[in-house]
Amino acid sequence: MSYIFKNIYSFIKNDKLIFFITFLCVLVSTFIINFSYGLYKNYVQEKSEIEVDLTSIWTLINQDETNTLTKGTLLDYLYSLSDDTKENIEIIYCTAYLESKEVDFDSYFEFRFTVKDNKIQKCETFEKNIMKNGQLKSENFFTNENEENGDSVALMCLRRGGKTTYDFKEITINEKKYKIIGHYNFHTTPIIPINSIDDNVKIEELGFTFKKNLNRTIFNDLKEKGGNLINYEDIVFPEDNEKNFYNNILLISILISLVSAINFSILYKYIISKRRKALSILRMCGCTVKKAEFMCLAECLLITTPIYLGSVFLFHNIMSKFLSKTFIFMKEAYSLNIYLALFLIYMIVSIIILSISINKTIKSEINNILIGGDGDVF
Amino acid sequence: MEMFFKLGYNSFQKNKIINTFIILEITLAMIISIIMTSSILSRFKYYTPFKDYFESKGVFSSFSFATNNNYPIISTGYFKNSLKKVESIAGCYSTDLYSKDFPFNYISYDDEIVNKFIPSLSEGRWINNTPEFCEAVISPNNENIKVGDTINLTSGDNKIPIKIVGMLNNNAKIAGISGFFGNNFNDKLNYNSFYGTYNVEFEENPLLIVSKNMKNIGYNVSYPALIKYSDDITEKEIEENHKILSGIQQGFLLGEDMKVIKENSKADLFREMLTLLPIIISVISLTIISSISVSALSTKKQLRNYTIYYICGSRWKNCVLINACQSLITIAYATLGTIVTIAVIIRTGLSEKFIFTINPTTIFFSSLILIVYFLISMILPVLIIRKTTPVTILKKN
Repeated sequence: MSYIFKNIYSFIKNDKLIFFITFLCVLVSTFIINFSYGLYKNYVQEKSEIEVDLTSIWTLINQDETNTLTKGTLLDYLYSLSDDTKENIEIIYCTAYLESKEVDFDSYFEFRFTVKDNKIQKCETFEKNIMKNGQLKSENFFTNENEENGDSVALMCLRRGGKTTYDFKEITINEKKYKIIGHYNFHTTPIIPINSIDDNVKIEELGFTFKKNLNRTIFNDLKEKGGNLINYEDIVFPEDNEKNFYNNILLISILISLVSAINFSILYKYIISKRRKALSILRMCGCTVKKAEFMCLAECLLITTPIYLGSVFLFHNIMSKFLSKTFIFMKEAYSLNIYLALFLIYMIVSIIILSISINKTIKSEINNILIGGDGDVF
Repeated sequence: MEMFFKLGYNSFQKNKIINTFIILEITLAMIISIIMTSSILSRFKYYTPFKDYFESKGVFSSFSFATNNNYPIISTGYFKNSLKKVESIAGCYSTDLYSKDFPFNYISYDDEIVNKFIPSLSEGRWINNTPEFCEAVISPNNENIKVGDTINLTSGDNKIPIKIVGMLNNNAKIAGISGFFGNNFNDKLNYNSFYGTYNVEFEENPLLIVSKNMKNIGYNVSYPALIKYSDDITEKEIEENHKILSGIQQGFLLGEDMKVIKENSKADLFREMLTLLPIIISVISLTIISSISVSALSTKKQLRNYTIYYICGSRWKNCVLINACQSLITIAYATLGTIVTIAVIIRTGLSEKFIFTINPTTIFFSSLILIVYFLISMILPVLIIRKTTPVTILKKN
């Protein structure tokens, strides 16, 4: 072990330039490895954000104190849509805050329904889905009459924590008694018929799911009828070749890592070649090839490990903060486990490459010296 | 000089393994440079075609169907005549073309757009604005209309056969469509606001980009238009022009000063460049580090030989020249390696999965790698040799 430290000391002392270049090489590799991983995660996240789902759409409700979207205005909006639009809407989803002391979910309620012939109807798709998935714990779901008449019935959900359901038979919502007709374990928000609430209840969220892909006609109808109150983000399709740009960045990162690896190999080959005489003497004194290899490998790892860890520290504390301004999802990609995993990958790959390189170099260097050559492997 | 090359080549041959590594490293650095430059250029590909408009005095206008006193404005020439000091206009048009078989969306462009911007095509070629025969580029469609087909449309009472000469890529970015379809106008207006992506599934109907200047087709100024003023236009004249534009009935949607467009565009492009900044820094630093390390090692390895040359009467300067010759041979091999790699990338179709452009700019920046490597390989030996004497080297080796 003392030879290893002596070698490192003499390396730093006698080959300052080479040591500095090795240092930079490991530093850049570390940055690139960590950056590439973050970039990849950022890309995956961004890709899922920019993909356009044409079967569902969320609204932007521009409400303030004077102009609010209430249940009454929502129904007027829905009834005003063209027949084609109404026909294509499969699920209307909205939420509202209602008072209920018996539950522990911040009185947040949701509504799922459809509109047919300007009448509120139950959402058959939702019913089928939760039944098919075994999420409807009782056989009961709302009837079309429940929805149309606004009967005081509720489909209860899981308690907060998601393990048990509410087991009482009645619930008071906005001072009105609702009969619990069933339970489902899909969400932690109860569902009640939209018509059971007053017309002036404020709607918080609104979204639609369509039977077939949304098109310009339906989109324009939804947008025009919504006026200033119910708005929609314009649908901008990501350019097809945008993914090629991210492919480029990933490819560049991989190639840079490759160049760093080649550079490190070149540098270490040089270090070993400088030690050829010392290694030959050690061999003659009984040091086996394996021991010599171990010495070189250990030395290499003892040099790279602190530089790698220091670089990770710099990357995490300085670089990633700077990078996360541009790559907004990058910061979330890193954790202690990820850093450890990347370090392990780096070490395993380094050990494999260096073992091969050291093995070949040591054999040829020592042989050259022992047979009286000049030891020049380069 | 021949002798230097011979000695350089001998030294290159002696160090085959390390030189192979160096050639591989330089080749990779050149490929990285090409990919990086292509990526940077790709961020400018929508700004550059109309750069002269965005960087001049002018206005970004948009019309849904420009009319004046209830008559449609059939040419951007109207603006040239009614506005003050207009130098050029890049305008888009709707047409009165009609098909009883297929419902199409139509758009036509001024020569300024046709000649400056070609959208991404999956097949065929871009339209010509002065053809014998009316040409069109079509979006991907469910109607099975292909490149080479001729579709018969009508314009008023005239029958217009239109030849399909090209097909757009799905979600290709197209000049002019954002204005009509309102895709980008919620954002701050910038160069990107002049373009939109056309998704036929969403738009329902295929898009036909039809050549302009056909006598029997009715055109009407619609969608966005870039209006460039002369440099000597005064603020007052700009204001007067804006008033005239605001007077266009039924459809003057907005007019934004090109100064604002330019500022927003530059800010947008800067953000794009920030994405690439870490990569750019890595490539530059790695190229320099690699070049320095490789040159330093190469020189250090050759010091003993140089000392022998020195003893035999050669000067240190000549030794540096031998080193330079060896570097040139390495560079030649690396260039060959790069050419072969480029050929492989293009031949295997890999270039379609990445943004990989071979043009004078990308070639120039990849050549910079060679220049950096060569310069460092010239400078470093001088620095290393200068600090040592032949006796010291021989003692060490």
